[in-house]
Order: sequence, then C-alpha cells, then structure tokens
Amino acid sequence: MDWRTAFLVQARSDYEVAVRLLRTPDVPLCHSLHYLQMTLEKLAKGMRAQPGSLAEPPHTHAGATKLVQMLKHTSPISAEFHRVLGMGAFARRMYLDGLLPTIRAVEQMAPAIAKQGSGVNSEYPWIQSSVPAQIEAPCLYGYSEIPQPKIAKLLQLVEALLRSCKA
Amino acid sequence: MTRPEIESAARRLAQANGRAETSISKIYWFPDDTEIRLVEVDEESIKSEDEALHPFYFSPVEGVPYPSGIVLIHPDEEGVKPLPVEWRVDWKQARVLFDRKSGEVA
Repeated sequence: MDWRTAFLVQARSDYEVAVRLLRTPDVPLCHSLHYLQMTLEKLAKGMRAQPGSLAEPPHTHAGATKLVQMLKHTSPISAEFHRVLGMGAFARRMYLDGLLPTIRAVEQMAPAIAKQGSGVNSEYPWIQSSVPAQIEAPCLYGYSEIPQPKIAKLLQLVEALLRSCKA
Repeated sequence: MTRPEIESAARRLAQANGRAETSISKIYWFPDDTEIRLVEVDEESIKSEDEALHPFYFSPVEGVPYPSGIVLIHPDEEGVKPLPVEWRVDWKQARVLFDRKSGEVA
C-alpha cells in the first residue's frame, strides 16, 4: 500500500467514526469534530502524496480548505467531485462557498494549529482568548463556530470528497 | 508519454481552468517528463500554511490522460514561495500557460 492509499483509507475510517458519534445520543460534539478534523487532515495528506509513491506526504495539519478551493474550480480534475455532489454549477458554487468557513474552522481545530490562534480545538482544554480567566473543556464547549445546520452539509461534502478522491 | 504530449495536456488543462475561473490570474507550468505540474494563482486562495508549497496530486482522468500535480497559491506567494521540494525546480523554470492580463493564452 502506498501513502496515498493509506491516508485515504484512514480518512474514510475516521469519517465513519465521526458519523457514528454524531448519531449516538449524549456524546459531546467535540468527539465528532475531532474525527471530522482528522478526516479532513488525512484526506488532504493523502491527496498530497503521489499515487504509487513511497515518499511520505508533508507533515501539515491543514490542507482541506485549499483542496476544496481547488476542487471548486470547473476543471476535468474536479469533474468527478462535481458529479458526486450532483448539483448545478451555480448551486455548487454557493454550497461550497458557504461551507468553506466551516471547513476552515474544523481544520483549525487541530491542536497544533489552534495553539497559534483562538485555542478552540476538539481535544485539549484551552484558555478563552476573549476571557483570559476562563478555561474551556472541549466536552462542555458549545462550538458556536460550527453551527449545527452546517454539520449535516459538511458530512455531505466530506462523503463526496472521499468518494471522488481516488487512490 | 513524451514531454510535448505532457505540455499539450498541461496547456489544455491550464486553459480550461483559467477560462472557467475568473479568480485565477495566472497559471504556471513546470516542465517534467512524467506528470503535469501546474501552479495556479488564485486571488480567492488562502495562503499556504507553512514555508513551502505542497501540490495536490491527481490520477489521469478523462481529458487529462497524465498524472498531475497542482498547487493553488495566493497572489502574494507568486514567484516568492519555495516550490515543492519533490519537483526540484525554481521559479526561473516556470512557463506561463495562462495569463488573464495579457490576453489569456501563452
């Protein structure tokens, strides 16, 4: 198995866990977001590995936002992704533009990235930048950065990415 | 596959992408004998997350019969950000295949 295949397979597995957690009552949202963040990270890493190559992809936590920005373009490269999404060009553009901030927010929940910014992440407690004395625990945090209606749309998008990004 | 065949496919892909997306200002091609290597300058792109550029790689698809590696960059990164290490190239080797300002196709 090459790195690309391994990352894409693991991304699919992370995604399935995220979906199971979201469907399980009383599981704090942080756990689902954690698996969604890992899905996006591994998907982007997989697509950054050349097919058949044994060269490990770069150790970056971000990349999914840029991948979606690229696949948003009308191009032979993105045709399969667009086919799987099954929308007209205008609707697809509105849908993807509307979701890009959510993808970015989830992507930036990787603790390594979050430490440089607001601190909001899905794994470790952090200090609120706006209220320095307030320490947040992910399992109790509301994640207003990710409105609930966006999560269903995000799942649809991730499913389309996983189906169209080929090893 | 030969380099002229790859160049021809790169040109078609660059023109298709550039003409379809008004946010793309320029597309560079970096010649290679095994894959299409493009850098697309897009004003809507976020900036790269670290000190180097990292392509996304795609298998051949209908209309693009060769593997491709494509980097999307913000205009501020054009000509200055280090290119992917695995490409072993520098910006001097870039050839412009699409330039919106100068009438699109090189």
